[in-house]
Amino acid sequence: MDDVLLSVRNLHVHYPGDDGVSKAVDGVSFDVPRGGTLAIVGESGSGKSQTMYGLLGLVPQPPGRVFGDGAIFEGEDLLAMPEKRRRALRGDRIAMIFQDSMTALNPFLTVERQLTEVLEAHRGVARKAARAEALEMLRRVGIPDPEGRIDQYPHQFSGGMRQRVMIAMALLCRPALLVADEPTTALDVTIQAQILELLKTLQRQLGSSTILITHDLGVVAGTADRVAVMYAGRVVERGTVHEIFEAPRHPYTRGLLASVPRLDAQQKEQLVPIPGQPPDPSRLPSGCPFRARCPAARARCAEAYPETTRLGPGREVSCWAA
Amino acid sequence: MLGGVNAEPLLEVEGLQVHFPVTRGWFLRRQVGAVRAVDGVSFSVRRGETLGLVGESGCGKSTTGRALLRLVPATGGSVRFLGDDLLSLEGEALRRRRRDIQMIFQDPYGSLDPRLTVADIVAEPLRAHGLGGPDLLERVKEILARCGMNPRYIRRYPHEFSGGQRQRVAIARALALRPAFVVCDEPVSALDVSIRAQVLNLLVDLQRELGLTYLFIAHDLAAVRHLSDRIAVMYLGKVVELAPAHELYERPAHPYTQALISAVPLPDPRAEATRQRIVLEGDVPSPLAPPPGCRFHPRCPLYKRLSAAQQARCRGDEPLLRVLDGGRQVACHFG
Repeated sequence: MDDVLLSVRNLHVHYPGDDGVSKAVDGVSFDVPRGGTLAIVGESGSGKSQTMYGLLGLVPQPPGRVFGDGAIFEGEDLLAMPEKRRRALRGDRIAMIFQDSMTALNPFLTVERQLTEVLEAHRGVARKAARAEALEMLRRVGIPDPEGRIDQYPHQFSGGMRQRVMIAMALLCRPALLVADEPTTALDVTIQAQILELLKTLQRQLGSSTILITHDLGVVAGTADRVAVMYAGRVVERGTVHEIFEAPRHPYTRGLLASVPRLDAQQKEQLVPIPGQPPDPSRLPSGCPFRARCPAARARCAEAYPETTRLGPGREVSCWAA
Repeated sequence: MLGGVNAEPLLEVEGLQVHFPVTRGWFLRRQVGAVRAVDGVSFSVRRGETLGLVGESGCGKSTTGRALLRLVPATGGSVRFLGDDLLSLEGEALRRRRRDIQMIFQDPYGSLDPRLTVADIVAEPLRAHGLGGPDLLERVKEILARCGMNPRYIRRYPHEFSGGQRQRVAIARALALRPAFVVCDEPVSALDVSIRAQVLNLLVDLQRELGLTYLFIAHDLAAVRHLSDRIAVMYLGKVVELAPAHELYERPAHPYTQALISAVPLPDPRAEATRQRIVLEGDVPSPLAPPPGCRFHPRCPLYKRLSAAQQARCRGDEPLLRVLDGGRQVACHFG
């Protein structure tokens, strides 16, 4: 498939613990469309961030263990390549932005130094030319007066502007894949709208692909082309954004959608919460980990993890009842 | 609309002001300015209703809630509650009044004492108000059960519970004294999506059962709309609009409210694809030196379309809340 930029199959990220192995990611598969956005949706502890750490080589091994059947990115397997190669890809062909720009940026370096460093390290661009490119990128991400601000330190920027600096840094080398881990969660809604708009525009201009990791279904609906829903370390359902929101098949996806209040609700609707709480990843129950909270649970759900049913190209669900 | 809303106001806030001094120098500390966190806020809350208070970080919504409970000192204005001015009460009178007004905080990890059992956490306010009689444990169990906590767990400590369960304990503690009025400050923001609905539903049920009146403070407009009868929108220390919840969404009058509503993402890809979003430029200015006239004018999409004479008015005159049809209030010269 040449419309797929990254294809991940059966990825695992395990951490040994005192009471057994904690399976943070337990056999995850998905495809990232070329020039499009895949959203990985899940709640805290679902393994959505760990999936990315595993792929990008950010899991310390040991104690962690990352393995799987492959993660093919531009013809290379991210899981099989030496660390040196992975490090060369990171920040160059694959870039990341995080929720917390204050910890992602170095507080002791000026914005200029942090941006030019990326170009020097990956592209061997001379400092002066790198500064010009950095200025251009700051302008593109909408920082007013880039010449006046490039020599400032991160703390001199507001939260929204710092997020823009981080995006500028990520996009400097024109990556093929941008991984955005809760990029707007710490921001106010009006600033969130600015940043999401910016990410969409830049993606269109640069032709890059995005993996958006988030818990916010509203952000997903407005940004993603394809969606993978994670629960307890597994992808329970995946499909196009329309399939997931308009014809969800997994009881967890349905439950999530029924439990969010909608601003555009015609009248006061009754929220239908999902009862209980997610399981501890180091003490996963037998069978399907969602069964204790699931309205459709049956005897079979306790026996084995549900097989993945293929409903169409890129459309899969893992549930005995679906 | 929730049942039992009475037109009689339980709480009346008039010109509330919370300014934090900014000082310089360590020896001769002199005040060089003030952060005008809350700068002349007025609203009333009727008995049995939920008033939502929304706005972005730094708009003063939490400080407003805290000032009502005297957790931060107000520097001006008045807060009338059942005939008392809460801001001037002292000593025993204040202590007695505090029973009627309670608060639920955002962070269920920080608001519960980790060294106390759940039973002691809920019993503490009862004991503090001299209600620690022989039936104390029964009362604690009852209120915990009402909040959806199994009374078997009352000897456990907060760290043994999930965020959602801790928030239930925090709610039980707030309700132990049977308050009339509860300030909920971002009560579900720290919780996971699937747990939020549990707690929101619990708050609605408790309101109905116990006849509570809520001030519901949150940045999540969808959650606020879900719970509130009326909503007040704050920007930089001021209320810019106050309207019944459905009207605020259907017909927002203030340009800031319009932008805020259009910025909230909807969990619906079709609606998202066709939506016209008003993207505001720039950041919220510092409350140390708010812009003159209307505080929103430097970012206001409407301002840009006005004539020079109209713009001069926005820059020179601070708009006051005026009443529109249907009792809506808006602080905008032209909105």
